[in-house]
Amino acid sequence: MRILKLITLSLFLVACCSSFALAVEDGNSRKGKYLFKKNCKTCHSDGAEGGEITPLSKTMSQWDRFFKKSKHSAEAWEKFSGQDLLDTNQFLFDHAVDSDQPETCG
Amino acid sequence: MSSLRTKNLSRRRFIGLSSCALTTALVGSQVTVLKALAKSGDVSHTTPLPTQDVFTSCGMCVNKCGVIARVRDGVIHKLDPNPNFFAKSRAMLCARGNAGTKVVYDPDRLKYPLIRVGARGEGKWRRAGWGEALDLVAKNMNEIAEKYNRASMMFASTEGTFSEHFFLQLAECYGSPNTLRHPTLCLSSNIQGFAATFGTNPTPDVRNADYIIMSGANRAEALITPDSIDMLKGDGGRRKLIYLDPRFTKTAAKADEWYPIKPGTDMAFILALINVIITEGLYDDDFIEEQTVGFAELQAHIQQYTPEWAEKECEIPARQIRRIANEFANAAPKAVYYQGRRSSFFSNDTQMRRAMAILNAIVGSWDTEGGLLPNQKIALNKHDFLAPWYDDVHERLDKGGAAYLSEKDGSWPIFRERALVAEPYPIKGMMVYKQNVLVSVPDRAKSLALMKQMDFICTIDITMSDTAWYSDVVLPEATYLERLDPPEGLAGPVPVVAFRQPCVEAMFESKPNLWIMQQIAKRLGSEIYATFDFSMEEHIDHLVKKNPQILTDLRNKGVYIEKTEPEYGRFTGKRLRTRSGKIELYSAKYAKKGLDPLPVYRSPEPVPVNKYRLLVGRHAYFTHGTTANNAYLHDIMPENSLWLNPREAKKLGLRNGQRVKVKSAVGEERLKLEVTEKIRPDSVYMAHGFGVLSKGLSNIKGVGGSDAALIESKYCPISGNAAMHETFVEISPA
Repeated sequence: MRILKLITLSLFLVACCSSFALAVEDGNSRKGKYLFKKNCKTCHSDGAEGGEITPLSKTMSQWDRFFKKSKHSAEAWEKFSGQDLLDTNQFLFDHAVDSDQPETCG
Repeated sequence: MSSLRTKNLSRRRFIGLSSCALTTALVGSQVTVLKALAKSGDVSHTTPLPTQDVFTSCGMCVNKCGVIARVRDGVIHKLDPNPNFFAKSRAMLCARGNAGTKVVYDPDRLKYPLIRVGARGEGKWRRAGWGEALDLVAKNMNEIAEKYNRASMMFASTEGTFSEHFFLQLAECYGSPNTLRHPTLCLSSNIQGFAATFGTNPTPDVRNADYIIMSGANRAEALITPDSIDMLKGDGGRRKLIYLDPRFTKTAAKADEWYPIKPGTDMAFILALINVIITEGLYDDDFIEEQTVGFAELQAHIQQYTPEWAEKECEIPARQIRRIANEFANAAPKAVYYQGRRSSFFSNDTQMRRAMAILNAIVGSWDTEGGLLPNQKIALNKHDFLAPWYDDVHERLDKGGAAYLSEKDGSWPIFRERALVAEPYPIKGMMVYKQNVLVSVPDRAKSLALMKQMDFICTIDITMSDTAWYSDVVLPEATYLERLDPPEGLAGPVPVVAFRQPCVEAMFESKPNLWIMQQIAKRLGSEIYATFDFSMEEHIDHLVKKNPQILTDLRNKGVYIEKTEPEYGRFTGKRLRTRSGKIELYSAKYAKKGLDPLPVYRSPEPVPVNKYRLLVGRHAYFTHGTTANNAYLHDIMPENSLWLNPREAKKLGLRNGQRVKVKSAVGEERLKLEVTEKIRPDSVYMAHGFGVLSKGLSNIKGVGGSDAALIESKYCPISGNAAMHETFVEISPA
């Protein structure tokens, strides 16, 4: 079963390879923020088992590489659709440590 | 303080005024007490009102200085500076901070919820209960979501209350991306220009700098702590302050040299400094080699900008530019070109800030004593929440309107232009928290038109601002001296955490922002309310969970600090938040977007014949459009005037003190003329915050003129920052 899941995910990633290459343009960043908080923060908040991760944890290119090369464990990602992953990628890319999102006041 | 002395506002009179005001303010509650006594006849068990000293933070401007409220018999008797707050406010409190008592004991303050009964702006209201007013707010928010789109509801707010987070949380949970904050009326081009170079907007180490060049920042009047204080205390006279301003301000009076620069030409002066430093080999070779990218491109680009060229633009003699460049480079790295805060001057402002940043970088004034310092912030536990997701909500209305737009802040000028033509979709509802749109945003007529097209407007404030005056529902917030506000980390070279605790109980029916947000959330639905289901005390405990000492120190000392001196060299060998990870003299990311990768000078539009350039600026008595009605501050400056050079006054046949009509392409105002040598002949100046529309501001209604009514709506295309010095006016007798 585990192998089947991995194969499915691999096939999916290959199929989506071209769209991941354009991830920074095609995702819905606001939806990605929602998905990141809903799906990722359960394990990746301060004190949780995955350790805290925020958009600022990586640069834009690092986030793109992370999603393009599927660096996360397959079990965690298999329940998400390609669009969900794309949206999450877009949010993290748009708010990365070297992103275009300016600092603010207050 | 000298102005207080000249007005003979003695301590005795100050306290006397305070007591009178208090009597007025408390008369309602005293009547209730007397009625109660009359019923029982019992006078033997009176409960004394508290007498205590309370640590809190000032809320009169952006600085949040440390305050000790001296509460006597339940009344805030006096506000003193908190000596423990030395790292930020140098244990001082300004005139505005002292006048804070009058924010609480102000007969003009909002006392209970109001619902409009006449036409918008007519000033006819009826008193409402909180329940009715909140029901009306939620009903309209829901109707706008159903009829148009959740994005058709905009949320305008500003910093300083420590509670803005909850307002923005409501916006996010409601589902609107259209939050519109203050930075594009203030410093967004500063942030953009410096961050494009250094990856962050740093703070100059004013206290330790030996040489400071300051332009566009009147720091002796536009107070920023600790800079305003540190700037005035040179180390044994060693520090030199070069000041550029079309006006002779109080900073000019304190400077070693003042140059009345031609408005809009600062970049020419800065580029010429860079030219001299590069052509004469005065730059820091090692620093440039190790920490920057793009020096070769800069070297080639800067050749055209000689001091002789700059002199023709900025009217500062070439020999002075050469001398200043040499002095600056010799003092480096303990030398800073001080970038100031507000940068809403011209539409080239981001590139001008880039030039400032590049100048600082080539002499190595970065992350070192006396140079530009990257800010530090003391970490608090983050308050996170999961806002509901709504499908089919539009993107930000102003999306793509500027090259770099903050998702949280937006751009006021761009947003309003699109909203007025409902492109790409209509904006029909407006929630406002503290921001005074009609006074702060240039071209008031357009802001009024924007408000006119709204189905619903709700404003939360402490006084009847102009924006509240044109609203449908007005909700009274408790003032900063009555609220328990969450701890907030104030970033800087020496970061601090500040907070507010109530000095007295909230008067009348005013409520803290969190309570108001929770009540609206409750009415919007359980999913939204679930994100607000906590008390302020629980929220505070969560913020300091990792370090409870923060709260202990805030309660006992009024401040939490971890060090008292700046730390230098923190970024040595570390990657900066730029694409290259280094200081970007040449910006490849700007080039990729089709923007000038190095600052290119373009002359400002010349002042037309028989017109003057309108300048705006700060002074130490008022904070933007919020404090002119404060009785103590009003006593110091009861109205604004139009500064005009004597040469021009003579030409126009106008005399000092006469009322004049000031006319721009978008508005016309009348105010008193002040004929003074303190301004260049091609420019006029007026203080901000007067000429109000609201009749609920009794001290200043009908007094002076409004700059917002005159300034045309122009902006920087890179940052979306308003350009407030690109308006020309005609002057004639009123």
